[in-house]
Amino acid sequence: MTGEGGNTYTFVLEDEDHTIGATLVDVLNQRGDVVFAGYTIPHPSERKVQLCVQTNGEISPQQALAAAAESLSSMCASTKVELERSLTAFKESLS
Amino acid sequence: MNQGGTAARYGYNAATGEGVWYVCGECGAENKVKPGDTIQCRECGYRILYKKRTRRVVQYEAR
Amino acid sequence: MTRSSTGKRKSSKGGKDGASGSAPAETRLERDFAVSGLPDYLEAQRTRVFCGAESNTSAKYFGSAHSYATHGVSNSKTFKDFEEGMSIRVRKLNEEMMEFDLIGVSPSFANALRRILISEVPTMAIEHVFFLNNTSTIPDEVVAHRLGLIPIAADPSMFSYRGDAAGEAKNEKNTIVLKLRASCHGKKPGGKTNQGNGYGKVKSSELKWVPAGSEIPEETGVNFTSSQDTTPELKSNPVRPVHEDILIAKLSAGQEIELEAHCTKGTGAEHAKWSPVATAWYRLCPEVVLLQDMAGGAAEELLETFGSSVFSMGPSGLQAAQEPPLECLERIRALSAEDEWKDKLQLRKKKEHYIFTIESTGVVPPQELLRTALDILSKKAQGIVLKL
Repeated sequence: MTGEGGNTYTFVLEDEDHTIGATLVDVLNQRGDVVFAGYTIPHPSERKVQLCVQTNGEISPQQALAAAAESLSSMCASTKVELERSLTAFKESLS
Repeated sequence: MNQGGTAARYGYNAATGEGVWYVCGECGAENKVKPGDTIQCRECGYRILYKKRTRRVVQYEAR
Repeated sequence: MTRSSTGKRKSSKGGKDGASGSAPAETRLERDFAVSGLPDYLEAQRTRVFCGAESNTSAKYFGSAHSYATHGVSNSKTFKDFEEGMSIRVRKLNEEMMEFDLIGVSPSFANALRRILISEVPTMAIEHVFFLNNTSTIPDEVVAHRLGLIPIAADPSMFSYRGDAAGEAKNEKNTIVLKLRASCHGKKPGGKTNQGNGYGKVKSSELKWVPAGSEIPEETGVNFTSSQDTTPELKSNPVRPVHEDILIAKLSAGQEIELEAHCTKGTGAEHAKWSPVATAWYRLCPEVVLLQDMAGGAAEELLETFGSSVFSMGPSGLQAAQEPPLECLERIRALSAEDEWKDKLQLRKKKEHYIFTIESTGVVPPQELLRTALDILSKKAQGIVLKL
């Protein structure tokens, strides 16, 4: 992972693609303390994502990314819980 | 026909002079052809004969 | 979506009913996640795509916390907001297909799930084919390719990936051995063929599981230390092709195919044969909006043209159905472009409401695929945290 220091940092995510790039950027952008978040895949045949994060200084880009990734992971867990609830509800609606 | 190694079974064996098995292109009958024989099916008279497939296991990637 | 929520995002399901007679169009919107302090027209643009005759407008997704900074309104969204706003409703479910509403997630999240379902959820598929004999008219490589595409009903979680780069040997943990032996006895070789003898069809049901491993280990180099059917899960659920009637080849009299096929674990990213879905897709939930109160001639015309599945007469005039049928949507769109109707009627799509469809190949049930996809996405995110 490389960067410019300070409030702006460019992370390089190896062996990743749009799947995680776009979702992380979305979650980062939802944060009030993130000024900018964007990603690029420099070359389509390389499985590599460059993720640029700029914060307002309240937290570091590293902290913002860690929090966003944690949040994304929790989102998956919570979606799974909701999925189970909806499946149960669906089965009940049939009987 | 099942004598000797794989090569002997399907290729021509000069030592025994046994000949090679071919398959008729018309009726599918198996014909043993020796040196000097007419290339013609004994069953139907068809003149195109095919070499039999190798018995060796061949591997392919399923892609 | 009737959960109570706190904070600046308020769930006001009653927003639509609250709009009385001459209220402007935007207040008629169903307010799922209103961002308080936002003017109605901006709120409509935030949550809806407007479908015009030739193109859609307001298709942008306003996901940034600072989208409305100039209005002094924060658009930030925390995990708590997500948890409260997100919901799923299953519409259809069977062994092969699941259709559900996914509400309150960003487009990238829905798309990530779609991408993972297609290319990252693993299955078992035939990868190597060893031909002992093939006298059919279909070349070996074509038969091999066709075999690869046949969905094999085997629980992928029971098997491990075979480290190909490491040259890992095939064993009972990473390989499934299937064999196929088919011949056509229309008439004995030597008789006339191709003349009224018919032909034999080789179907996927001819693929038989060999739990003990390869029958030609010298040629294939596969040695199982134990038979796979000693595993209770595999014993009670033997490996077989999902469909029995997939045509592999046709044989005429005297032709035969004899082969052994080895399945390995893989993902759709490597080759589509490992993809667990026929396809997985989503569309935005459509909405028919009446821009003015309608009664009399116009209302009756709509009722007559579209029927009761789209419009109905309520106490306060004409009402549009919550879930308009798919077939009527393009007609609504076309109608809304006409001068007479453009101020009265509009087709919209809800930006954070996806109608998601998973079509499984039958190897893994669709709801299980979704669970796995969520786990994979979660693991990816955890991987990022660990590497920081």
